[in-house]
Amino acid sequence: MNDLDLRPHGWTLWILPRPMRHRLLIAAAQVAHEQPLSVLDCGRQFDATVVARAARGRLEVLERLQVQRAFTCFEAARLIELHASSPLPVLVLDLLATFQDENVPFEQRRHLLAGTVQAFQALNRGAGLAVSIHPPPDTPEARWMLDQLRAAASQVLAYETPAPTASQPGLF
Amino acid sequence: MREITGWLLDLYAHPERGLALWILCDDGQRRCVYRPFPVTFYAAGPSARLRALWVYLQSQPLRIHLARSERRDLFRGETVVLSAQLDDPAALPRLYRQVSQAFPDLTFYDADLHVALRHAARYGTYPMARMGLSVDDQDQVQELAVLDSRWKLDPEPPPLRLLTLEPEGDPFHAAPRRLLVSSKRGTSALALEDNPSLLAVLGLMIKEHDPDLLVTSRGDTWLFPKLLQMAEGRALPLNRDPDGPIRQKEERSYFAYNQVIYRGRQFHLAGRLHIDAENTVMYHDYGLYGVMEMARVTSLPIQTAARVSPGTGISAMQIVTALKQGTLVPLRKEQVERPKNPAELLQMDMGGMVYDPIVGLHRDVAEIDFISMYPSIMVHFNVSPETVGTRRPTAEAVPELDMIVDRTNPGLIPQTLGPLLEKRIRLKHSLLGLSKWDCRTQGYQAQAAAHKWLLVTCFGYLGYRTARFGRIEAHEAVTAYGREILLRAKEAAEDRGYRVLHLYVDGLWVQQAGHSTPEQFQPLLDDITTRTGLPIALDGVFRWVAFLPSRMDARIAVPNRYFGVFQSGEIKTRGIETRRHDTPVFVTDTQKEMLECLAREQVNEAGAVLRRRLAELRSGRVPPEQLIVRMTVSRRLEEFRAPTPTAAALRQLEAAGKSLRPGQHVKLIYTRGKVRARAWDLPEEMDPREVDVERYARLLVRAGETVLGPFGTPSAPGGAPTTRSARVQCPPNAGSAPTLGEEVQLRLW
Amino acid sequence: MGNVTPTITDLLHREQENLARFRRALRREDQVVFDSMFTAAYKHRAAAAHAGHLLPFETFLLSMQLENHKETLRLREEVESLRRRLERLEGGDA
Repeated sequence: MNDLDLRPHGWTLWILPRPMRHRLLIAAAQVAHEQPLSVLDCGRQFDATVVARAARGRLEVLERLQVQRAFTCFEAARLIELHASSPLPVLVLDLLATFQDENVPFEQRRHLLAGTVQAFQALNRGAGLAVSIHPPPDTPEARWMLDQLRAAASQVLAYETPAPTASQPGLF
Repeated sequence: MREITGWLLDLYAHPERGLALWILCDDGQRRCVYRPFPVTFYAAGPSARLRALWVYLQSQPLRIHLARSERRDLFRGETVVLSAQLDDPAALPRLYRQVSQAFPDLTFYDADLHVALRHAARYGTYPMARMGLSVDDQDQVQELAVLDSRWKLDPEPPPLRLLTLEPEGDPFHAAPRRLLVSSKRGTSALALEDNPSLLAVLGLMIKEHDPDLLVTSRGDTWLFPKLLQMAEGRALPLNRDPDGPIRQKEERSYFAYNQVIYRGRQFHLAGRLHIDAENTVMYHDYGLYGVMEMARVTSLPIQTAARVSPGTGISAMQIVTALKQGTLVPLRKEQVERPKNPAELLQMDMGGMVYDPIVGLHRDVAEIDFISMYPSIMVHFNVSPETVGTRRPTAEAVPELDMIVDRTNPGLIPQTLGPLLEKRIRLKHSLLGLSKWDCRTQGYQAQAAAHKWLLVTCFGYLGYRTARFGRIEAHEAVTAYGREILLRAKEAAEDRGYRVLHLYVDGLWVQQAGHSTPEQFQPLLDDITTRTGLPIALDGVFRWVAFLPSRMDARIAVPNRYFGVFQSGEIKTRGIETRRHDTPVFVTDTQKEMLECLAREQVNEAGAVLRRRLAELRSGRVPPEQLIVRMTVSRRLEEFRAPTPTAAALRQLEAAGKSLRPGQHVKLIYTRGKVRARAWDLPEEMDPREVDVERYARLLVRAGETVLGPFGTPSAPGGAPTTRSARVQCPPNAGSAPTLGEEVQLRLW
Repeated sequence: MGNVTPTITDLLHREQENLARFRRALRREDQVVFDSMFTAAYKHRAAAAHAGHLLPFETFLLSMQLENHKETLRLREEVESLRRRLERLEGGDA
């Protein structure tokens, strides 16, 4: 058990409001204290300085993180497919960001997402998987994608509003 | 058999005869000739799926030759593919749409390419190329040869016939009453409203003039749709080819390069060219020259070249290179990023080198710029998606990045950009030797502008998400080289005793006491070229230049925000009000007039201009047209949360039945009262008393302060004097005393 | 879309925000000094960006120190030149 809730069987879908995006980066740094981790960043979420601060600048920890970014839904799907038999645990950041690109026909995005979900099921048997998304816009397409992911995930952790990052000290 | 020589006007797929080519012949005739032109596309994937595709294609009611072959993928090398050759090029777009839906899991190559690019790769053609053809009695081309080169500086200009169609006034503002039709022979005005004979008259005029080029104002977005509507299904007399359709493209808004871009509807003619001056990026500044040059170097048909983004232009050039060398053209880039650790990611994901300038007024400053730096880097260091990150022993390390570039074989991108870059440099040199009045100057400048437009984009395109041959590592290698090169240039300048005042992506501003003539800077230029391997040029020596502080905090400088006067008297401005698209004409004109005073070193006169214009504004003597503010629509009306002036103007227009899409511009006037803005294009006349004079006064004073600030301490109207004050910063130990900025006290009010 | 890797200016703003509580508790006159230290860090954003340090605050601290030292050197020079002038004046009196 760790901050990302990575476990060998089953995978976690994190639904996080945008302001909480650093939370998973900090969690990734904590995982890296113990073991290597593949981070697949589909929404330009990986801010190296946030991770470095969480790792207190320790290079041996940071080097356990292997980051790859995807800029289109095609790249996202391909990247995840390539990791389907990864020996390392995998963290996918902001999965749906590229899947909302209206320049790509929905039919094609649907096909790609279906392939991605299949790859997740394969990864499930690997060293662990966590996938994060931000609450998508309320459109039929986005709802369909969200339903697919919710149905496939073994565990869904949804946050409605940003949790306070640090507790406010009381006056007394 | 006949021999024809002439210019290639247009080229497109013809439903029965393969390809139609329109030739502007030397005997003055416009001929349409044909040739069969089979096209091939490829598919790669698991063999079972390829077999299924084979069966699927065999069942199509088309002549398709199928084969199994091996072709070169840029990254994977030789790849087994199913090749499908169609006799009818016009049938490919539809077939490909079907196939890609039925087989979404296969990788397709060469499937969505413009037929003009295929022809360009095979026969070396390009729009307006001089050609020699042998044609048989059925107008079928037997032989074809291109007689000149797209890289030539002075191509023989084709004697094009032009007809201009222009509605009187902006249709978005108010329905125009008349359509102005102009040719060499003069202008006639046709009534637009309730004119049943308009189409017939127009048809007659077009038939009589038989123009090669229809230049319209808002033909794409207003005139052609209106004419189509009037025609009610009857054929419009616009096309030259009676069989050819008028091809339409619908309007769209999309997000690219960090902004919303709007593309209007388009109407492409067959056999004749339609250019909408309002829907053509280069037209207003560079006219036809710029458009033709875009078409020539990219091989895209003129009607397409006139309307595409530079990214599409660069992509077209890459496609032609790839087709020529037999490399498969994918639909999009396929390479995923290689794994990086956080430190590498931070190192690589940096942009260009940008210094904060030293704020204030400086004399005798040289601006030196690398000529097309990023493209030069790609060509010089052979940066291309397939050369970056190879493990060949010949590869060379990119400075400060754990990445290597193979230098032995020229990559796809350097091969594509090399000739363009070389032409640009030749053009620049030729321009230096020409007087302003030389008849070639205008054409050269237009060509140079087209090249610049393409070359500026080719860098961004390397990493751009929809590029076919992009790769993030190549993009990163280019920026890394860029930073290294700027640092070497800075070191060269400092070693030679210069002070580097500013440094911005591909340019440096340097100063040294006693250095003021171009010749004095030459040794530095040579030294930089030696140290970097890249060409650099002196943009000019400023008599003076002022780098401006931030509006929020006067202690902080803002990169690339400055104005100055070259020794030639030419004024250069960056980032100030006159350069902004949302500044009203009234403010822009005032600031320009003030700058002209300052260029003559008449600081008090500049202040007088500001006072005079302010008085004009307050006494209501400024016509409202000059107060129009042009804003880009950033989102759909319902997505606006804050009641901004833009949102207010859009709402008013919507109520009047006029809607605008993201990426389009809305014209508005700031008004008093709760709404704060009024859309300019409303049907009712506007009451000039509504104008928010004080808001415009603030804008005007701010623009005035921007240019006066470096010269002294202007005071705000009725308020406390601003604390900003700057003295002229002369090179240390300068011989002459500064004549500017000796604490000139400006009493504005 | 719309997520971009933070620029060096964003990072500097972030560090400044992280210290908002610290700044708030400072006396007004010290807040002014505090802000001017960040202005010093601003001036060397290009160098900080090029350094690409994983903990950028260290580079920002160094930028502040650099501006501070520059000012020290400038003041030392001014003191020296004033002292020389004073000595000349005193020498002239003698």
